[in-house]
Amino acid sequence: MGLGARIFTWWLNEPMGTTLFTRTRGELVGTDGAGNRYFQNKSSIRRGRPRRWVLYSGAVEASKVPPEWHLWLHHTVIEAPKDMAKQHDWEAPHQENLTGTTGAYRPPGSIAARGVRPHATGDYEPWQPE
Amino acid sequence: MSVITRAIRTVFLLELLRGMSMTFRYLFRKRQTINYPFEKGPLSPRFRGEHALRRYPNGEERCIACKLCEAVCPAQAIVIESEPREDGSRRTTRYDIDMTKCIYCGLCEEACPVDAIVEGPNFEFATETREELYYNKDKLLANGDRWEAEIAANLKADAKYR
Repeated sequence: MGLGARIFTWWLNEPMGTTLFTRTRGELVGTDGAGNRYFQNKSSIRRGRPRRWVLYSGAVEASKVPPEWHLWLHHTVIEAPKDMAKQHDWEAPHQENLTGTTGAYRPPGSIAARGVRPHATGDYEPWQPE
Repeated sequence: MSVITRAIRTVFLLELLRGMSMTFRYLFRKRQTINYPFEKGPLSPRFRGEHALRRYPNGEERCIACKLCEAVCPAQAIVIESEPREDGSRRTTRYDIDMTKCIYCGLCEEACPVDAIVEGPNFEFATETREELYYNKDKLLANGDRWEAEIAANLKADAKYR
């Protein structure tokens, strides 16, 4: 993307200051399966922790960070994830928050979804006004 | 305060200048904000975010429909119905959490005897409509399948303090 396009469609990417800081001070720690790049700067300390940040591939969307890197980015763990392989075969790939798109979750029986809401089986006594 | 002092303060807007000088001083202080969504704040392994239903390593769902979470929930956000499955094991047929009622107190995960319902580390699940927050069992299990790596790591990190 050229500089002109960067300036006139500034909301599609990270701010220029973040790009500049990444180029000058960023140390690339790793890349996840979706192409998001993770950086840190050990000398820039914020509240006792080195700064860690992510540059998203494609649209800037905070929920794109997969769980392995989520741990690292939120300073829950110190070590960056090495093995991204899933431990169990039933584990599912990460998905961003799809609200506002057609892929958004809808409970069954919603107007925007197919299906019907399952009827209550009646294992409780509903309250009745006297 | 004499009349003259008050008149001087009023005419020269001294309070305003004091306020502006305070604002100006903050330009040179260390920034307290973080560059979200690129940078994110620190999270504890105990963080209570979006709910998830977990599975055993062989893929079997953990929840045995004991309804302790439903009973303990102070906001009464959880609805569970259960039936014996074809193989005779006791499972839920319905596990609904109304995330608009939930107060994220974490009592459900503390009540759970099999670590089935957990509050995961995700807090970026804001939605555009209310109905997207009426989670059912499929949605909760899908959350568990996506976040299992981090949920397991957090439970392991916190296990020695429980």
